[in-house]
Amino acid sequence: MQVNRHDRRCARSFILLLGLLALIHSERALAQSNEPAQAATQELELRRTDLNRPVPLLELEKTLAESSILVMMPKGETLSFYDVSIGTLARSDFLLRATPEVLVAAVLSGEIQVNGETAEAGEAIAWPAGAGDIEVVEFDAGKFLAASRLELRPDTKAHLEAVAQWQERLKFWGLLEQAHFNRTAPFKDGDEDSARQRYLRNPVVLHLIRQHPEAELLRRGVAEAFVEALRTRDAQAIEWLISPLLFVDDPDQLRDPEWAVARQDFAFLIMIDHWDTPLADATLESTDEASSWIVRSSTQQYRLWLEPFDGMIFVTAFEPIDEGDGGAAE
Amino acid sequence: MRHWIVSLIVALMGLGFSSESYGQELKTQTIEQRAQHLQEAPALAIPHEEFIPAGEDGLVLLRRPKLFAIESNSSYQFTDNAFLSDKQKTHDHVLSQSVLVRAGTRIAQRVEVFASGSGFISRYRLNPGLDFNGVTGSAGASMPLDRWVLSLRYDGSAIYDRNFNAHLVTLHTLEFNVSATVGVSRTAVLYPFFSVLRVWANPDDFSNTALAAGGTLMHSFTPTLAAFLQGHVESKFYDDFFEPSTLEARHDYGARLSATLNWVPLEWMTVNVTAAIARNESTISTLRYTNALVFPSLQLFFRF
Repeated sequence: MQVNRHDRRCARSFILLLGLLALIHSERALAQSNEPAQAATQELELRRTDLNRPVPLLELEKTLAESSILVMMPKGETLSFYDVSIGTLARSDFLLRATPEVLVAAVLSGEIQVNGETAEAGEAIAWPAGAGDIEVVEFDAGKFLAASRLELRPDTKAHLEAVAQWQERLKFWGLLEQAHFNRTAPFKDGDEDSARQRYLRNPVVLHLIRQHPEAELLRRGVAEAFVEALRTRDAQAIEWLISPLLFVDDPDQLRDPEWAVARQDFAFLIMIDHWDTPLADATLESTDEASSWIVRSSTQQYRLWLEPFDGMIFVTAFEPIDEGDGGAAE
Repeated sequence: MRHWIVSLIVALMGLGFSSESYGQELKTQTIEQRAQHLQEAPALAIPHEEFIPAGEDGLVLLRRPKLFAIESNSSYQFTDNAFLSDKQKTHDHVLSQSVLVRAGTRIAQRVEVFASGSGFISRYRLNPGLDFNGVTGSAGASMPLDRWVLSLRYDGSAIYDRNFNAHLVTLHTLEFNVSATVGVSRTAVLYPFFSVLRVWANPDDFSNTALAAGGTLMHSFTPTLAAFLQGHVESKFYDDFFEPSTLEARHDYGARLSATLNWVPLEWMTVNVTAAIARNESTISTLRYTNALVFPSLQLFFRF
């Protein structure tokens, strides 16, 4: 009796084991059969690295002004933003980063192509601001692996680790060094990056800097963008174009974020003044003074004052011109 | 043989011999210092303020540095004391040109090493007998230690007369230097230094051991325009400066003050205008002098 019960228990266990093996096999087969299908259907994916959240393609430029973005892109695709285009020669993962001085695409895996220049894992393509040519440089794979919170695929991580070892040897002998991009910053030390981020790292400013490599073109671009922002009642763009220096006595005070709140409030007050109607047919005219423009509409003339600061040109005043005062600003 | 001739002339100089031959031989006596003065045309460049794009994602860009450089240095110098002796003070206009090839790298991101070779010519407008040409080879290393920078360098110079007919002097200089960077204000930096130098020379009359100390105050007006105020004192102990003739050991001590305006209009070009005054005291009376200089210079760089 006991033997029979034991036999039945053994038989049940055996059948269960067989079932389990069959299930594992079928799961694996299913997974294997799905792999090519997944690879074939993989689509462009963007994730902001600070919050590890997906980014819609339409918000790429806006988000890039706030955070780096990890791009996972199939072979043969093209991604365009900030007037640059990146193509992929293989399925590629790359990191995008935008600062006022340089736009960077750092390749983690695969291979990308820009204007005939290619970059593989461990390399980056840099677009310096202004009229500078693109550069293929390397990025410090060791520092990236140590600091990044991205979840990298094991093969990508292993490849970057090998790149990091080779770079360490080159760095030891001085054959590889940190790449510098010249700039003139108003701060000499301290947490300048966060201070500058508040007035330079936004899509409107980055777009204008990248689209207008020469100061004269940038002046016109800023004037046009400001009038357009007034006309469309875009409080955000108005805010980003107003000079931060209007809200502080000394550039060093820009380290304190309070000025940004004051500028935001000021931009809102401008926006609710309904400039859309008086500026509906406005045109821009340059003046003898490089720092000002005449905004002429059918009902009124205005003078727009601009001032350069930290590689950008900002709006410092916008005021109506009285009839008969010879064009003098109020 | 030349040693004996020079010794004889120095002895005659001590006896107040004719000023013409006196000047003729001062050119030999002071060649070491004249060459040094001309090579002191400042090789200053304003440190560029640079931005290293690193951020929250740890993305630091790297680039293959340019390890080699070719440098041209052209200078005009007005000196009020061409012979470097108060006993025959005469002014002159000196044109100098040097071409330098340099290779350097930084090992372990800490130790700078370099080697260079250069050729130079100097032409005196009013006293062409003072003209000289030369070649120099240098090698050295420097490393930071806390807030100090320690450096050791070797310079070998062979100096000839105008047509390379006569070898005037060969100098092998080993220098140990300690310097620091002290922030004075947001736009001013002070670089104090202390040096010990040992010079082996041929003829060996010029062999000496020297101590020097001083500093440079840099004030930056704009990212491409700066002023430098430099001052240093130096004491030189000569081994055997024509001692059988002069009957006394040579010991020089002097001071030099200079002001330089430094402009970097292009990444590969530096323009300097320097005014300097130097005073040298010596146990040998003919080698005491005060020298005022004004010299603009143009440096061109090509890095690869």
